[in-house]
Amino acid sequence: MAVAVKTQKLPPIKLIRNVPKEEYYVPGHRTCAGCGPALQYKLVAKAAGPNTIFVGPTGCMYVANASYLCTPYTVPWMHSQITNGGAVASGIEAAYKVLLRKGKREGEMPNIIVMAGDGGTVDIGLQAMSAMMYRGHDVLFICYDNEAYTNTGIQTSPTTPYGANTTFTPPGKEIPEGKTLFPKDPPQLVIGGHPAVKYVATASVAYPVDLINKVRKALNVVGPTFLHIHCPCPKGWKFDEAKTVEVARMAIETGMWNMYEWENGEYRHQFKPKKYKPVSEYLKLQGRFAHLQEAHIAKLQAFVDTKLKTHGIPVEVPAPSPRAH
Amino acid sequence: MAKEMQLSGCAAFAQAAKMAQVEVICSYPIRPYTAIMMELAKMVANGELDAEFVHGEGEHAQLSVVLGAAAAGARALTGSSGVGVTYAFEVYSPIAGGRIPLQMAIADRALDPPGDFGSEHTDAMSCRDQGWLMGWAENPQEAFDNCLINYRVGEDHRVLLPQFVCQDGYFVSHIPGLVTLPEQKQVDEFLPPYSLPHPLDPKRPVSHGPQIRPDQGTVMDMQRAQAMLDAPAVIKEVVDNFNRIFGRKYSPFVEEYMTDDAEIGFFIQGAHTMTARHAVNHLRSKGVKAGLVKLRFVRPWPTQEVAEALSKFKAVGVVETSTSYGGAMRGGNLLHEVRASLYELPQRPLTTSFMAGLGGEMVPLKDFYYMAEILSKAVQESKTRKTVYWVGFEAEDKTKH
Amino acid sequence: MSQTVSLPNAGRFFEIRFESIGGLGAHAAGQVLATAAVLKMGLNGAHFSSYGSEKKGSLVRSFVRLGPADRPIRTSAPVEKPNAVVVFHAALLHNPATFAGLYKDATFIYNAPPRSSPEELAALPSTVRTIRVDALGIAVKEQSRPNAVLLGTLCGAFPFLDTGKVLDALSEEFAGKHPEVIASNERAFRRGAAEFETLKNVGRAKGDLPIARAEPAWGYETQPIGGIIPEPGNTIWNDLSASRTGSLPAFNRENCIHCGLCDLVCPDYCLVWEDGEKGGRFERELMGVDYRYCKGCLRCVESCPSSAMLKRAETPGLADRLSVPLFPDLVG
Repeated sequence: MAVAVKTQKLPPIKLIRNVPKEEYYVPGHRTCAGCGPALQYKLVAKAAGPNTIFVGPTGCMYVANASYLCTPYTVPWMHSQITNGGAVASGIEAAYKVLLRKGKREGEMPNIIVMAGDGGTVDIGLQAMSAMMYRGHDVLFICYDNEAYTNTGIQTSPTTPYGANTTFTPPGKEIPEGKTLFPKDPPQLVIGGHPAVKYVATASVAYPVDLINKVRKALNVVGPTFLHIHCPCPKGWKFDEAKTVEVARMAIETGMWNMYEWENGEYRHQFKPKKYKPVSEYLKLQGRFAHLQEAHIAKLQAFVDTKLKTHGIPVEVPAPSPRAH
Repeated sequence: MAKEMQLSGCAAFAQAAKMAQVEVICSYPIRPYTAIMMELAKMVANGELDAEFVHGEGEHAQLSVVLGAAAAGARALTGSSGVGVTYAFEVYSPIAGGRIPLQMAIADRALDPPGDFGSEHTDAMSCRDQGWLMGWAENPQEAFDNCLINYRVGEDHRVLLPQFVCQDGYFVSHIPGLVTLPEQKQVDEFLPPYSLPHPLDPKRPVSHGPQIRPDQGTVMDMQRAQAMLDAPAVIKEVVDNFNRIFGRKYSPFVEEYMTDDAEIGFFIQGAHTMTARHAVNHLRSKGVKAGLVKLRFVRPWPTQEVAEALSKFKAVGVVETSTSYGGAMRGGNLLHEVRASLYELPQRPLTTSFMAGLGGEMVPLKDFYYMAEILSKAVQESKTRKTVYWVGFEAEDKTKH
Repeated sequence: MSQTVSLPNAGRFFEIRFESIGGLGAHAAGQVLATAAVLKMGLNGAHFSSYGSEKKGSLVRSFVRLGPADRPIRTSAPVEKPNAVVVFHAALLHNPATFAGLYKDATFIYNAPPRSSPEELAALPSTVRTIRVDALGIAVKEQSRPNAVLLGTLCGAFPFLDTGKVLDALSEEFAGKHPEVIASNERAFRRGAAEFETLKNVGRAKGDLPIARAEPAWGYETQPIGGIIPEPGNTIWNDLSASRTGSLPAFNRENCIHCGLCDLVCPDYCLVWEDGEKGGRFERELMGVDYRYCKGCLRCVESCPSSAMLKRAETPGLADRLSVPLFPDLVG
């Protein structure tokens, strides 16, 4: 019997040994050693299972994965332009709705997942992502955030942190901090004004089981959902590729990355450190911040403190206003 | 029971889409094609058409949504006009190169600047090299018929190309004409259900559109080129079948009107063909040996058929309702392809461009008489004085200014 | 004004091909060499590289073409018949295209530790001069990069290249961005020029080697239309071992507690698991690593709580000995 609406409920994982053993993202792809986005892709594919269709907007997770007529996906996958991941996924979902309803396909509504980078989510892809959320398609939109346009050689994107060195924001005499703009906040953009969205969460490769569970939770919701996943990029952020998890963890411990779920209007903050470490602990792990001076670091600290306060997370020391510097 | 109705081109097209049982529609409003979507929205709301009606956030999104839908296995439809057509440009090649046979209705419109809602073929013509089938309807009946014909040709596994089904904005899209609607069972006989060789289906996983090396790209280009070479035979087969089932008399690629023993002729596509026919009748009654050739498919361009038809004339006026700034003939698009078609002929007619009907202007009979005069003079002088005339704006032309 | 040097083969271009993978500095090396030749040695020169998306681990070929000052270089075609080939990573010796087009009197330089003579070198013509230099070892000791060492070796092997001028160009390349590396680059360069070995009786082929052009796997009649890949997961046939840069994770089964943390942090799915013994302690047990897919990021080593994964320097043949196949039925 064909079902036009998902009834599956993917179960959460409580123990590592219950992580499913099947892989739908097989090796041999040409991502860099230690690639953060590749790791989250593997975990997402594992969480979603075989009844899944991926949409891959142009980016590292397209070019590096499906290179030279090769493909690491053992589930259906389709390339989209970097501009239209949300739109193509909407079309696939609409097609499945009508095909299942008419009995032209058998089984359940598949999981439809957009795997977009930060640019394909909140820059050039923003329009399509927002429209998909607004129209209420049963699609999971994942933003794998490596905080830059990395595939084209590390250029700034709207999620690149203030003070980062990228090839479009190199530090110099006139612009000592490199990047002068503060980043957009993707999950807040989604939560802010899309009434059809019921579940938004942030995740990190630092906590893989949590990531798997959030993917499953999002897929179990019938309607549009959004996951913002932090994936450090060893080449773009300039750190030893063995340290990806350490960097991701430090982002959380300094407040540069916040872990939470938002469901039906309610926030659940997670992995909150008892005491936040100063952002300098995070910055010093990465070469892309090596040029920052005290004043810049203080500005970034103020930004983080304000962000935490907005979320209602208590901060030890009252934050000076970002304009003070 | 076949039904006769007075329908505008937009309404007629919507009826065809309904009878083709399209499954995913993506809308976005822009004059003058919007009426197609409004009709379809009513049909879906009333349960007359079981389809997903998706409100796209823009034309680029429209094409992206139907790309996803068609790749997943649904018959998909979208449409636009003017700058909407050009806004979606990025997605045309991925669709054609991905061999996804969806359909886009274009009720044409002049491109900005400035804002002009009037008809002009430039919007669609600017996109003609992307690998889509493409052609114009002269009247609402043809708009209806072309929808079905194009789905059938495009979806044929020998072709697998998307289609731009075009009609003149306002002149066809909004002026009602007589349309004979067939019975559903006739349409079902003509158009089998949509079936893609490799749809996105978890039961048979495939990857669409991977990154490639340069040496792998030419192969894909050649295949797309081959599809365009294979399409004419399919078009002929399909149109013959269409004529048989629905009782029409379409010539697949070009339609000749009074070309036997003609000396001067018009080469034209779309709505203004109707006026041109009247002009030919009038000219004939005055003893001028006039005729016309109407083009039904811009892509694949029917080189052979155009050459054969036009070789009957001594002078041909190519009526251009689109612009090509800086092009070889400094005028419109069609003359380039006409001359290329005629190149091999031992005896070539004189050819010239007549820029007419741009920006939504009417092309009244007297404009055609003016063109005929110029063509007749060319025959007398055995040469054309110019290769492009902006009708109504030439110094010696008293018809407009 | 720069002094003019003379090229070894009068009247012909001198063409060099660097065979490398992303991240080892082959492109920069070619840039430096060409800059030195044109701006300081009075030659005509061209340099360009062929590579795909800019990431570590992908194949990079860098080409340098040198000509006399009075002969303009009008071609930017890849170097198909090199007078010298410099191999930045020994794993590339597995790839026959690395040797393609070598003249019988060419020079072949490869980066490997002493006493390493892979059998692939037999494919070289017997008359080719074969040079081995431990570029990685020297680079690590001097805190520089293999490209500096290999540039030095190139200059040492070809006296017509003015060592001083190339070194100047190397230093200028980094003067603006990373002045601190100039001294270590110079040390690495000079050691490269001095500490290479010329090997005897290596190649067994006769005459010039034929050129190789990449042939596509499919033609226009056989490629699936629309660029579709009907074979999902066909990346498993890719061999990524060449992207490792000197270390691999070695698995010590005795220390392993089969917790699965390594698997959760490996982006590449290199770890091979099997069902544990019935009634045994573990449901799933780690059997080892399939090094075909391992890129050497060493996250498994970082995350292992029981020292079952340890970082080990990679020597030729080690990975093949330790490897446990992930898809034994599919991949030979």
